[in-house]
Amino acid sequence: MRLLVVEDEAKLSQYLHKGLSENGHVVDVARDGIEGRRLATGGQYDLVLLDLMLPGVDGFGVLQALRAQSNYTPVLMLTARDKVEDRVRGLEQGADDYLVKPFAFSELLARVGALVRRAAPTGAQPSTQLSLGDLDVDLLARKATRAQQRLDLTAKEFNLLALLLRRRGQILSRTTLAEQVWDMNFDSDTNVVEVAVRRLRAKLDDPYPDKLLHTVRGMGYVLEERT
Amino acid sequence: MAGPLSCTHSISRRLSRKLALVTMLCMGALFAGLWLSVSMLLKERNAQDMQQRCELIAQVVEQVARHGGEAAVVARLKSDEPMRGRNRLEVWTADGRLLHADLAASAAANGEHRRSGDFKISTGSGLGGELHARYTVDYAADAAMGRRWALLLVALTLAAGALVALGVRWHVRRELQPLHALAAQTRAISPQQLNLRLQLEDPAEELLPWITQFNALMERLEQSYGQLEGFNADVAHELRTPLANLMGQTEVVLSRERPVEELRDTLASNLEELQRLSAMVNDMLFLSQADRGAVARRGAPVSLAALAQQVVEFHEGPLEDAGLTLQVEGDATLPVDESLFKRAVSNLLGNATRFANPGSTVVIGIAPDAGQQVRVEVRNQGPAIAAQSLPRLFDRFFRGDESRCCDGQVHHGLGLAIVAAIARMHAGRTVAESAAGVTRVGFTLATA
Repeated sequence: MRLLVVEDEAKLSQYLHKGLSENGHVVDVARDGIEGRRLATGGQYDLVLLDLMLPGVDGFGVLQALRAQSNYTPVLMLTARDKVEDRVRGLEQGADDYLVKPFAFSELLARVGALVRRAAPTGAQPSTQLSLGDLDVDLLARKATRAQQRLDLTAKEFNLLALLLRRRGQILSRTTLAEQVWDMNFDSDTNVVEVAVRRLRAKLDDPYPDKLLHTVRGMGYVLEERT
Repeated sequence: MAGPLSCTHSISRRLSRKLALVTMLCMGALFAGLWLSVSMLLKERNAQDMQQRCELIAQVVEQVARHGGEAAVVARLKSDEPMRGRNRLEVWTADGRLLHADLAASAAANGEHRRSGDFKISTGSGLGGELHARYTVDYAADAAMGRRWALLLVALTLAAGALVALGVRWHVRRELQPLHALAAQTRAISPQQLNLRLQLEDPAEELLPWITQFNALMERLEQSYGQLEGFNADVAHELRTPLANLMGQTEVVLSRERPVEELRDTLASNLEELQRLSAMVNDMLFLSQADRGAVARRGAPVSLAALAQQVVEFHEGPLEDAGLTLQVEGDATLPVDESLFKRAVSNLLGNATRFANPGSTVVIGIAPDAGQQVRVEVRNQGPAIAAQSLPRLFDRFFRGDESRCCDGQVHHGLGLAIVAAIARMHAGRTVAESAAGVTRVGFTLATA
């Protein structure tokens, strides 16, 4: 994917460039609003990451210029201002999503993935049968088996497993999991997600020699086969 | 901040002006009435006086006419002339011939202040039986006195007005003197001396509520200032520990060659620490927004019990780990900010999970409360919270002794402060009780 990062803060744009490139994206960086506007309106990007407070032209200006020429490239706003009005204004002017600084890189990656997927639907019917190694999950029957043995999961544990399986190989942060599985849109100061993952792991991995659910310290959890 | 206020009027000046005006109006009306009634009385007396004189003259002339002739009458009229002073008598015969006219007052014959009365004198058989006479009285002296008197009254009125103005001004200034004292006392209050209060030896009834309210305001201000100072110190302290860890850990690792594994470990540990810092900063920002009066964005009415049930599902794991059973009791349907509501309940539930006796039942109670409010509380059985700690439970970074415990989780002590902020954002308040082994912590929400 070709991504454009419009961000004036050097350290942030540097690590965004590095992190996104390493995740298989082609990344251009614009360091001010004017260059950002030129690149965004001129180039063919799959996604624009747009800071709101920029020298030259601010993020809203870049967004307006882009939408004015009927360019509907998905735009993810990055804003330091945790103000509802800014978000509302951004979304009204055609931004597709926003992320408030400071954000976790894994969170950013998840949003980028979601936006790009939304913009370019694969057309393929999403499968209701998922599997990874000897793990099989039937989303319709809500049945999970490992080595042909049924896993006795609660409803939320099943949802958690299904999410991790659909996004296998991706690191999912606690915040993402709380949001997607339990619909809790806030950073909880409790260890609820850790406990839920631990309990899932006890049923999913503990009885088997090959572990599938891994903790990535400080970032979150990932479901994948590691040999 | 507004600039220095400029004065366009003074109370003492205004009062003295108004009272002087009122005094002058009252006295003016009084004096005018007095003057009018006296002058009317005088007029009446003059009229009577003239009539008497005319009658007297008629009698005298009649007598003289009966015993003498025309010459005797004229002589008598002439001889009496000096007695009449500035008044003037004219006498004609019945056929219109002038018999006598006083000379004395003829000079002022055309003055304004005169009044004439015509009368007839019957003379019996002589002098044609009847004489016509006109008596003109000169009131110039009376009028002059009246004018002097009026002038005196006007002067008195003006003087009284001026006197009242000066007197009122002086008194009002004296009575308002305490305000200067209050201003001086207020000036002395500074951030270093917030404990100072206004006081007067013998405060006036009108000033007392003002002083009381000001002192109450200062009380609240001092309290929140103290909280703020404490908060700053707490924040610095809370940030210092993880920062020191981060720096120390990184320094040690960088001080010599390390295998990649170890470096990765350190970075991951740093990341965890940084996430905690970031969470704390986010929570503090949230609190400061609530402090600045942010209001919850309420959606459509929802069942609070249903929302609470979602939070219970979220906490399923920790609750089961602690061997706790959970019940949601009661319900209410109102518009709330769902995300904020769930956050508050989640924080309360997290707290209750930590302090509840293992194996007991935790209850989320939802019930109507006084004053158009709905009360949401989490009840758990567990160690009692000291009565003096209850009001401080929702303070930022407040930790009861027992909360430095348990599961090795680091709780930064803002959880309940956030519950309080969410209650405020819904025009509600916080609730904390602890008695007979049951602790209830919760909040209320305004129904609309």
